[in-house]
Amino acid sequence: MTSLDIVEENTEQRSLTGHNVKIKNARILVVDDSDLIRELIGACLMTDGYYNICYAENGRDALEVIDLETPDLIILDLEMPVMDGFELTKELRSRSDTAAVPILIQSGRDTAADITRAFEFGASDMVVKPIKKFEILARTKVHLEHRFLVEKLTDFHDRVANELEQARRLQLDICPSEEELNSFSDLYGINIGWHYEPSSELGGDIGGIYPIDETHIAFYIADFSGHGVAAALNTFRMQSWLASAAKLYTEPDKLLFHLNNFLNKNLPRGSYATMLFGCIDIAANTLNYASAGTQPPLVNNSDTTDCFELRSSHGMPLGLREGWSYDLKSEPFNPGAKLLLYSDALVEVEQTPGQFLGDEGLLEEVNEIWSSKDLTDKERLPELIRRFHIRAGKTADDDLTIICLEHLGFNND
Amino acid sequence: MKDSVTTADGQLTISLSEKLTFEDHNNFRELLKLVTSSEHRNCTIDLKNLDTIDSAGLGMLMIAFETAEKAGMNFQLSKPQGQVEKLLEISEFDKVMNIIH
Repeated sequence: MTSLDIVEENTEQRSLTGHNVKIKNARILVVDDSDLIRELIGACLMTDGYYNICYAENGRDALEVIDLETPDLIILDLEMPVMDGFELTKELRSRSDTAAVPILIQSGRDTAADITRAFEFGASDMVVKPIKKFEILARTKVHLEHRFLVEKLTDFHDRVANELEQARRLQLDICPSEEELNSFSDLYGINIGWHYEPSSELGGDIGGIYPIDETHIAFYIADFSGHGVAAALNTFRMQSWLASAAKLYTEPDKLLFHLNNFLNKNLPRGSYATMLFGCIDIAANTLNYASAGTQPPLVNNSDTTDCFELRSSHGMPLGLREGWSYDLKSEPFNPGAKLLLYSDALVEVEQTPGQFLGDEGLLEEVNEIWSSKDLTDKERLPELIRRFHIRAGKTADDDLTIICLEHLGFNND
Repeated sequence: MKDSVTTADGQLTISLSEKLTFEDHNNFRELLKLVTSSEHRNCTIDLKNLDTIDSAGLGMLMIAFETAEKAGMNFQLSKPQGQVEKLLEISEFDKVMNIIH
């Protein structure tokens, strides 16, 4: 305990020391047309340990010095021949590399109008002549600390944003590619439409297709509870488990049973995934599936009505109860049959203020789109997505996954 | 989430209203301490005024059930409405715990 305290204290001291060193190493540019004032300010700064100081006589001079190396702080007089302090401030603020450099004005002009103008042009702070050593040192320190802390924070923010972006790309990468989807159409006569868009933050949606043998193809859609990095990492965890469970692909109920136990052991208490796992047999023309509390799938069994119908997706979400069993559901899936799976984002959008689309609303909409004579088959899924975006706006706060499987059969000419 | 707690004759009743979402998990944890520390034999979570629940909220209800189960208490959810009722149904919570409609 004690040794740990010492280690922490040392680390803190070291980082404080590091911070102070950085401040004392700061490059400070002093701009004033008076030799005397420049020397006076420079001497003040040196008594406090600053040594990386450069000087300029006027605005134009200053620009040359700045072009060589951007300073961390500029102490600037307002009245100078050639380019004055107002002009220089305006110029520096318009350049991207100097827009954030703190500018400390020191001037004998202290009318309200001058002060207002200096701040309007982008000055950070102001001290009034005569120069008072402790005032100028205190303000120098404040602005340098501020600059370095903001820099550190911005770096950290950029790094995290960058890493999140990479994670988003990884999630996109595990979706089946266009070529894969086309190959499934050739091999199984199953046309698959796939749409996945991650939300602005990372999300917990995942889906996949597993070709099993010549006559069986499996698929799934799943959604982890919660948002953000943890949910996204769980999608990868599930994907690796599924990759090692190939022997269960033709038995969706057993697959959910084992996956539930795996997640129950590995997820934090109260976390879970909803899922539907299914397998199509193109020789027997059947669809087998098991569900764990996902959105109810839409099935169109062309034989009967050529309409989509909602199917039950009841089931204990995966990970909540150890040893839970799942029912196997089975139905005919003849050529012409279609199956639509989707994540909750699709129905949890407001149709009218306060009124959500819901399963029934979606069913109605899908039936309208899929029976429309004005749309070709290729245009139906994009139309559904287009309508979603009109409702949700550009930035949805949840992942959206839609998977549409259509049994084409091989006998179509 | 807003909550109120009443106790009477061995019965602990926690009434929830408005929303039960991820933001409530700290408050909910505090409520669960009542379940573990209580002398009562029955625990009811009254959902009649709860309008919506998200995935984290559903997880919390399962944690509440398991906490009561471990403490050897009778547990029930009472009068879920609308979206809450639908989500409980789709997730088959009625097969695990007693839900009074």
